[in-house]
Amino acid sequence: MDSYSITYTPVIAATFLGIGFISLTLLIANLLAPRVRTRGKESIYECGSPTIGQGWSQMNLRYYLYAILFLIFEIESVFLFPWTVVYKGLGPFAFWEMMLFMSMLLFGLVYAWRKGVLTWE
Amino acid sequence: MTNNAASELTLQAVPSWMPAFLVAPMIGGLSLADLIALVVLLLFVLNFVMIEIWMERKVAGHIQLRRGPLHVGPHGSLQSPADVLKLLTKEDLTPVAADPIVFPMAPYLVFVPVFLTFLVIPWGPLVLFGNFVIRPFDLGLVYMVAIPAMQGIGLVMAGWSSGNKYSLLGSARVVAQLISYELPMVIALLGVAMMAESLNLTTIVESQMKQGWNVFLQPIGFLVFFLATMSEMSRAPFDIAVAESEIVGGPFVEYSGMRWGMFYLAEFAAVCLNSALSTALFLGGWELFPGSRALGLGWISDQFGLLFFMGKMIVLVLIIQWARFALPRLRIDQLMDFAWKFLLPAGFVNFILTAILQVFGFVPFAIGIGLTLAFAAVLLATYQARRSPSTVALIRTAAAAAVPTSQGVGLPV
Repeated sequence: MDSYSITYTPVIAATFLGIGFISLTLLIANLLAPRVRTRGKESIYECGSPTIGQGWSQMNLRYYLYAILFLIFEIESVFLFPWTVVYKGLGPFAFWEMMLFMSMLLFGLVYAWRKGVLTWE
Repeated sequence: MTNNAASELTLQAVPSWMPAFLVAPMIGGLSLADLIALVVLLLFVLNFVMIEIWMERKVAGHIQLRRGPLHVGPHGSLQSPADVLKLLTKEDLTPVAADPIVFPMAPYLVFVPVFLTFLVIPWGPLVLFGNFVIRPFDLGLVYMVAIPAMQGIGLVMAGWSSGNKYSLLGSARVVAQLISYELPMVIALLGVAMMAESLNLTTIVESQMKQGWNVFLQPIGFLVFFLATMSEMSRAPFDIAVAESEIVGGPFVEYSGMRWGMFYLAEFAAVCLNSALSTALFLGGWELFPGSRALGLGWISDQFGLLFFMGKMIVLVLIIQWARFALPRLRIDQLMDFAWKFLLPAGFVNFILTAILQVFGFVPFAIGIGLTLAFAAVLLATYQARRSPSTVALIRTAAAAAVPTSQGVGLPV
């Protein structure tokens, strides 16, 4: 096994530890808690009245355009992370280059803003 | 607490008293000491969450002119253990309409990512124990952005599988909020990475000891990061996704008993996590005060750093709790506007200013700060001018009417 994956083995161990902890707690709760089933208790909570239609109803996901913008900027930041680490050694040229890249992206943000994409209604 | 051959950190020493069989690597480089450290970390998180809940109820009480929990234990300090016992004996309901597979899976996906992120936090050194950090990953900064993002999937699973309209709405809001605030947070982190020239959290803390704390060099970045993380964990005033008064608790309406307790645990663990991250990234980690190394007081931080780290962390936790009870909740459109039209541009300003500081030196950086402040002042002035004067006048009149009358000075009942 190479050193890279060895470094990350605690993550796997911690995942199992977390899952084990939740399972154990829920098991204890299961043993201690009472269990009396009635129809009223098992129905969906909707402020006391019976549910109209299904819980899985159609709805408008208004954040659709936000999500597309999010993808653009998030990919940009993935590009920027390696750049930040070596940036100081690269000097002024890297600065102007990155400003060009950023200004194009910021232009996109301003365009979306002007087009009313960033208005939640 | 553990050793790492790949790391070149100075503080990363194994305590000499530790027996060899504890630090000997077993499967995949994990040693017994690693496993013990992980269990200790889990216990620490659980206990800190209990203390945090008690603190929050005390803070809430005193802000609202009450006294908070009083009766269980001294000053009500055993209230949280009592609550855990009560939750354990509560009935665990699964509604008939809920999805039988996804519904029980959701609490795991909400808590485990928060716990995993604790692995990268550099807690700092303590006498005899060495430096407390499970693993100083070289990609720590990317790790701490990527792993908690999985929590969103857990919340959507919870909201969708409940088969309830409120929880479905809540989960849709959670997604919108998470993707909006993820961006300013990441942009603010770029400035931190640029200052330290590293993505390793321990290196970032050590570089702050040499260059000065990030909170002074990039205050905008700190503000953006702190507010964005506060929103990421749906804390008030950014808690529209879990607003009790309109969608009765958001994605986890249908959960009850200990299963609901897991969501609560994850929320408070996230408060602890984000305070710790802010401390490490911006407040100088385990250093006593800025510039203490130059005064020859660095040894205090090297010996008792863990205590200072905890102290700063608790102050941040208190600020987060204070905000919850002092500020009104933002509407969803205000929430989205705040992320995209204020925090994101502010994050970019911070990024550009830090880039100027790193390459062109301090004078252009200071000029840039001055220009930013002037621009902010102009924006604020135009905003104030555009606000309708009648609203302000209305508030003034109402405040004047609330002044005590003949019945004497007193608070409104």
